[in-house]
Amino acid sequence: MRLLQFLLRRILTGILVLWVVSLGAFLLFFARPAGSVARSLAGKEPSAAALQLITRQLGLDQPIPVQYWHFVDRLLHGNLGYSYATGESVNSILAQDLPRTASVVVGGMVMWLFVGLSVGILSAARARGLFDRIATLGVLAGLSLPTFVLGQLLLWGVFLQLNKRGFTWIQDGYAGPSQGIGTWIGHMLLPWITLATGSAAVYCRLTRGSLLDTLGEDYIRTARAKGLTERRVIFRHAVRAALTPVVSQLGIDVGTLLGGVVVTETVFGIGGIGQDSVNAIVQGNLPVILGFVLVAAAFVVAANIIVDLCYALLDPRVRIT
Amino acid sequence: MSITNIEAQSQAVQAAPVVMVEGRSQWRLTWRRLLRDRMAVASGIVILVIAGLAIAAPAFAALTGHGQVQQFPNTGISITGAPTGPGHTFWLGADELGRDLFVRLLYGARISLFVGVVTTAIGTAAGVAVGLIAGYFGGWIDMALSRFVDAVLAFPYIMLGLALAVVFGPSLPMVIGVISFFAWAGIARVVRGQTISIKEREYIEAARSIGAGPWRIMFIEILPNLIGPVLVLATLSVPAAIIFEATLSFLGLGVQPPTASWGNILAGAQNYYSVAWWYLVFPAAALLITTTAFNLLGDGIRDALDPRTERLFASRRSRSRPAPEAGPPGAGGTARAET
Amino acid sequence: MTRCSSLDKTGRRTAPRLAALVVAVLAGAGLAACSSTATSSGSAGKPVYGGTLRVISNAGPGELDPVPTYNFAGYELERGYARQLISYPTTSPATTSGPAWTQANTLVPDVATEVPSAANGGITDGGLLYTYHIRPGVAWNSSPPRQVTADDFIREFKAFCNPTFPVGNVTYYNSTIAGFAAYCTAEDNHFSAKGAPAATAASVAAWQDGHAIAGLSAPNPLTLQVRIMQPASDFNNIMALPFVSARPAEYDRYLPGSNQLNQHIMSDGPYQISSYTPNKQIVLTRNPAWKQATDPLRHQYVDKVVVTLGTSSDQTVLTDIQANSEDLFLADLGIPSQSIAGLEGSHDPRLRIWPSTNLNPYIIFNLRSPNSGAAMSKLGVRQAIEYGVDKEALLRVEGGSALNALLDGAIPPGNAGYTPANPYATPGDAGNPAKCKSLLAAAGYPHGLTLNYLYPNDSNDTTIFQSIQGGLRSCGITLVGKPEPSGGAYFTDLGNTPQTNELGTWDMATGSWFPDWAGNNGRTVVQPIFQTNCVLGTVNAGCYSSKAVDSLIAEALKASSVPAAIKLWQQAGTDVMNDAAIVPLLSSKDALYASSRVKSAVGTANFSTLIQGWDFTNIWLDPNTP
Repeated sequence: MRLLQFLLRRILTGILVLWVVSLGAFLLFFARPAGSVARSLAGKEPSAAALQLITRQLGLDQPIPVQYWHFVDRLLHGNLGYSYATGESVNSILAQDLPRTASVVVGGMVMWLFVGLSVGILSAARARGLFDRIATLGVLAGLSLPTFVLGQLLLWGVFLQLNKRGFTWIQDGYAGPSQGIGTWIGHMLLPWITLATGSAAVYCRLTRGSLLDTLGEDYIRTARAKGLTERRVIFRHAVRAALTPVVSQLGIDVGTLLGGVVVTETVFGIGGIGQDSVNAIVQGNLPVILGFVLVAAAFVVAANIIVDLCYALLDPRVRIT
Repeated sequence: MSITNIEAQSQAVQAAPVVMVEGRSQWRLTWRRLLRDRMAVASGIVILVIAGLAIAAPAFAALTGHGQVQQFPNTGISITGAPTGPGHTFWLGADELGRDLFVRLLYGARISLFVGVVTTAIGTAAGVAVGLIAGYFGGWIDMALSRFVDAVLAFPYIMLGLALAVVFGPSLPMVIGVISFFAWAGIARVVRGQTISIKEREYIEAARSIGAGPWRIMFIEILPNLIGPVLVLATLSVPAAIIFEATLSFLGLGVQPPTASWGNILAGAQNYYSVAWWYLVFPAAALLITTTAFNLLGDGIRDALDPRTERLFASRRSRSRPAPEAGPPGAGGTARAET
Repeated sequence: MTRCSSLDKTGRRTAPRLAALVVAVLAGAGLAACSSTATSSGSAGKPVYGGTLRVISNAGPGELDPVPTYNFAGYELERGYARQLISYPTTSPATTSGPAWTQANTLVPDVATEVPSAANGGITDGGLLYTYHIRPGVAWNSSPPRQVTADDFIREFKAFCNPTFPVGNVTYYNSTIAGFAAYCTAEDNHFSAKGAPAATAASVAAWQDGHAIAGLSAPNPLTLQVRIMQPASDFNNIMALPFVSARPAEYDRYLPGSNQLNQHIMSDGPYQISSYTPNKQIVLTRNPAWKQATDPLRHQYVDKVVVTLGTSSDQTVLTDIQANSEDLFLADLGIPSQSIAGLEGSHDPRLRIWPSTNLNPYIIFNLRSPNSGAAMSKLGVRQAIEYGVDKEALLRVEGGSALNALLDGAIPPGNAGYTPANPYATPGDAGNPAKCKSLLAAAGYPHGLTLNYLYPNDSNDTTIFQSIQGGLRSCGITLVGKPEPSGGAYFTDLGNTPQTNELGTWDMATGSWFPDWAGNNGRTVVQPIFQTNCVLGTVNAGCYSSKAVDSLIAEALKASSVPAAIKLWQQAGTDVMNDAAIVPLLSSKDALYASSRVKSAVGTANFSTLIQGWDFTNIWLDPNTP
């Protein structure tokens, strides 16, 4: 019962957060110079009358509270609005874009978890040994390289060099799993590596720190004293406990990234939420911007709730506030 | 073993698992542990060298005869626009407008360090304040502030940066504003968590029972205990801010040319690195070295603050394990290069 | 006319037998002769039918409707599905002069049976009535296919002034065709009056169908007559613009330029739009209703064209094409100018650099800016800047003379009125700081000047700005950069209303202008840039105004002969330079890069001066790979 109450409360506050975010995004875009939205959509030499008409058509001349009310009204009916630029419904734009972003994020996640966890566990097991030191430097390098630099280098160094020599498996741009697993991986491998490098570093540090912390606990000393092999100690007992913060960080990260990986998508031409939101912002395409921002925020809020729920379920000591 | 070591050992043992600190001797111990950590010391030196170079940028400009924004098309680029490579005239090569890359990197260091330090300072001050207040008072204040922090952390940061750049025009103050806006939220979250766990300790109860007011408790009793973790977070926020600025410049939202920032130099390099490797390699190396140094230093400080260091690894040298991260996950202090 | 062009037409009808034999024998050599005017290797052999052409683009054309489309990416695709009455052949000239250039810019019939002229009776009534006869057999891809009629063209004209997405450039039409201006005013008033009906597809189509443009008539379904208000030696050029495509009755169901219309585009050309996913992909496939016999300009070599949208980096474009994962890029992309030097050095046959007649970039002066004591309004200041700009450095930065021509006058080579005069000559074109400083001092600014400079915030324009900024620094002029996203605020700020100019948000800006046709084209160069026209949407963003130039323009537009017109345009060009109305900088050439399997009559990808890009209806793929 307490759990249900907790869940309900978190969902309600989550909705509150979303409302604040939507309001913030809405207001932010009304600081734009008047008429620039219509201009950016109207083509090369529109007449004054044409501009006025586009403004009226899109409802840009109504008072801001009225526009916001229409927006909320549509939202409550599950309709995120219609793009100013193409008239497409934002729902359908999302339906196209989300699988692309998800492709990048999910694959990247598998990669960074695998690399981050394994390197982190090994580093902790042989703390301050040679492996640990090398891994530390590697990790820091991964953290320090901006995504756009890494992406461009991979494009030029891997994609171009391989294709010039006739190996055409690695491609840029997007291909979905429905086009064949091999094709999908060929297109997504470089974006995954780009995205995963920075995150693997974070997870490696997180795992290492958390595992070392756990290894210092009394019950681990007991296990060691009982004569269990180090390997058993680490994998049977320590890792499980150490993974809690990793899982929660994972939830947040996936939630955040599903809102769009702007730089990776732009460099590789994936055409997901991140790339499209950049275009929408420059055009002042408010419905698309609001739709994307809300969806992105919703993912983060949902991830937070799930993570807190997991904490509450797993660790009764955690106070449910 | 010296007397000091034994002293340190016994103090550490007495202190047992409590992360509490009191008095000034602990700081001295921390400092000594830090000095024994060779990586941290090396990083510190690297940072000082970079800062020194940044400060001396005008001197180098005078020395080479190339200003930050001065263009030398005749010596710096070929007639088809290909930049000149590293050599006698341009120590690290030239960029597409015939400007000296070395001098621009030095001025860029100024921007990067300035952005890193200022945003961290603002973010830390604001984050500590909000976190302390939320953690200490609890109740609806905590709820409101936490939800606000959540809202801030939920907002896609690049979108916000883009939106602000479109609305107000890109500039250095705007970059600082955007980065600080996200930096404080992460710190606030961690500080709140720490505050919550600290405020239950007995000595806080004791302070309250003798009639100390909430502000005194917060700032005189709790805050000093936060300095350690906050210092670590702050040191680790600097490289994150530097990368954030570089990313914003890549998207055209950061420091505007011709003012040099490592981010906008790298953005310019995009179209030239296949004919001018130096244009990509040197700025990338500068970023890499600087952020790595700050990260190592932050790690070192974190290790130095932890008194359990001596107990667990007494037989080895001073490089030790990182302190546990208290509080909810998703804390700041990790260099997130992408959202 | 050269042998090449006689091969382009189906010459069987007119050529006598012997000549036909000679022509046939020399057909193979003829293709080589055509391409000998080009700079690189010759023909690519016989055309191959089949295959899928893969194209990449940034944002794509946006609209597929020919009415609002006013960008080269749109023109590149329209070549496949939207035919005009008359057009230009794609003969890929290498320079902006010579027989190949002339041929590339000489009108030929497309849907019409011939280009109206006084000689063939197409232009009558003292040069005021133009008659176009439509070929029987040109058909829409409706089911069943039906003939394209004169009414289809009239319907297109009527859509020009629609309230939602008006035509890209209405001035060409409402200043020439009788009754056009009145029609447009009436439509504007109808939809913008207080309490006006909402502009829906139905209401717009109803109004347009219910009102006529006085100067347009269709005495029979296959004849279109256009009456103009005063003789114009370039009227056929105006009629050849892609705006004047046929428009089927089915389009009345949709708002012009709307996404719904984009999903229902019809075709009278060799290709049809088979799918359009905004921001993602456009696919064109062969149009079964098109017949080669009715189309002297196009072919149906490839099976399919797939345009993938969303690429934004020039480096990615180059990488993709070198890796053979894409074949061509649309005009909204390019390859890094730096790589071009390397490609030329290694004689990469996939690279072709084509001539252009544009003003790209040039500096626009905001003559109404109040900043610094209305500095921009002072001739002395503007002339100082003309002397101060280091054009040679800018030329280098933009890739050198392989990719650009340095401009000394306001009218670039290849346009009517071009002269080689250089009124503001400086040593080595690198600027003259001393002269600049002294002119500034004489104008009242002995201690230099600070001005605002507006530019689009993409990487190339940022580089251009910095180059200009560096050059002017040496005469004491400090430019404060104001980058804007090129889609929106840049155009809003760029003097689109007199009020904006007077706010002084910008003093100088980077401009670029691509003439809509070449040859007798003062109407599309001098008029838009320099005629007094300080209104919203003007190309003359600085609000330059000179009575002398205005009257020269008016005279040139109604000049009775082309040489007479050209003389007047030359005079206008000299005058605007004396007034220092703009600072012409460079004319940029088009660097096209195609994958190795893209072939055309000139080897690799061809070039159409109308499209300012390649013409895919004359491209084939070799070897075939679907």
